[in-house]
Amino acid sequence: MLRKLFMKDVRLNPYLFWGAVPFFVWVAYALREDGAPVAMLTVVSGVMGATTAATVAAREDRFHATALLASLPVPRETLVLSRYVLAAAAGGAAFLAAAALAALLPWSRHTPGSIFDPRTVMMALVIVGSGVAVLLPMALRFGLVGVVAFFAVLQVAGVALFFISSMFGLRQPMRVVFGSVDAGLRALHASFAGAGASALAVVVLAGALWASYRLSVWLTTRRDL
Amino acid sequence: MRADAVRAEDTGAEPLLEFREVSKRYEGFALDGVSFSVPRGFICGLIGPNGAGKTTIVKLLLNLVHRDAGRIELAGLDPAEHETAVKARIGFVHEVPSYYEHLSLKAIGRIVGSFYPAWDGALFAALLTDFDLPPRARFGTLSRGMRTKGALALALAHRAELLVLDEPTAGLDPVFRRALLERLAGYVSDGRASVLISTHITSDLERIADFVTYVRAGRVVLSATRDELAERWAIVRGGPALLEGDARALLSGWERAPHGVTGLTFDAPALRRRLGGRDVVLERATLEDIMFYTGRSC
Repeated sequence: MLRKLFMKDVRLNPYLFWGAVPFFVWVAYALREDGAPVAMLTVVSGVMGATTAATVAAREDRFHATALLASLPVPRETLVLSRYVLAAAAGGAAFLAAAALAALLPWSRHTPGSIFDPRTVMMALVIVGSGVAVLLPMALRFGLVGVVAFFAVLQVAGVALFFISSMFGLRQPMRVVFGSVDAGLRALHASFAGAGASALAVVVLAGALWASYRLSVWLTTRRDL
Repeated sequence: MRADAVRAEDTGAEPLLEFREVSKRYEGFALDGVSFSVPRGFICGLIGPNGAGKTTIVKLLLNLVHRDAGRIELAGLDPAEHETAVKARIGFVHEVPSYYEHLSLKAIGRIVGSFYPAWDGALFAALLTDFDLPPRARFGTLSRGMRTKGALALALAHRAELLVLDEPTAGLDPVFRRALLERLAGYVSDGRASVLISTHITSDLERIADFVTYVRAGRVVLSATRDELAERWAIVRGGPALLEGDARALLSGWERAPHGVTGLTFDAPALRRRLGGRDVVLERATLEDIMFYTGRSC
């Protein structure tokens, strides 16, 4: 059943997959620069792939096909699980696609060892998993509106942060914000050098994904269509 | 006013679908203690004005909305507990069929069919031909009537035990409408399957429905066989005596007309006996008459 649902999403959303092509062209282009941040490119690719699952759910909402899907002989819990599987598969595939470009393109100066650095893989897992855990419950429960609202809130929060920091006399607040994010990601990347931190991250991530999945099931099964 | 529900056992046929005291509350609307059943091999019409609760009943059956109380069974299975098994037995045609607009009917059939164990691809292709539907046309380019035909082909192609049609004839041309009704009559003729049609176009049901359940403001006002409706329910026209004493108690609704009173009785034989030789005329009540007069008193 899970396989059928997965194949359904693949067949129903070919444009989404083709839509990723320009992004990977950009990744290929970015790799030509000296010192191109391969970790960042692969992780961002993974995130972009994983959010496909949220877009698929939102598109179903857009076509009013949610009720049709729920009227098929499939338990709603399985429908939810299929979205998580899609997120994992699309996220993994996008990560691997970016990594393959980095490894195979003649102008790329990265070795497979640096591309598949365990710290980078762990970081991709953590960021992609966290994004899925946060975004999917909203996309499944509130559809397109949920996804749009989520990003709108993020954007408004960013603008508010900008103004608040300006009020307190902070110069170039966005540089501070992006600098903090960059520093945080670098620290996270560095922390995965130790096996203990990696194991802890895997456990926390698994817990977060499980909680997110149960929340999605709870929200979806109670949803009146 | 009568609100007793006809039971499948009354017909001697095995009940395929049963609603028992089902309730669902929304803000500003409540479906309240709905009971009716659909025996196997029959066509049941669900009638009522817009907003009466017909679509909510259909959604409850498909577990698209959750009931607050009561019991629903399809072939002995509760949709909430046996969701997959129940849905595999139902063919559903939504009032406004919605599928992915960019896909062809053929592609939609391939996707939808993969979920049904009894899906018959050859039958689906034959139905598309029967319904004059182009298999390769994108769903988004089809007219409302063609969409309904397409949804019907999808519902029929997995040999559903219960065909649930929500306002299916809206948007269909008269020729296909009649052909559809004949097809539905043929669908139940072997006694294996049943059809539940929710509609407010009562003339369609006059032709084919074996049972009629009338829902108004979230309550079942009447659930009866077509024969019972023909025998017992009637339009009565007469003088003011119709509104006196016992006779009035036999009226479901009435209104004053320029030359007297016109009403609806739920027990024509009893009314005839009560009024004896008085000057009244009784005529067969149509479903539209029943919907119009029930609860009316002005």
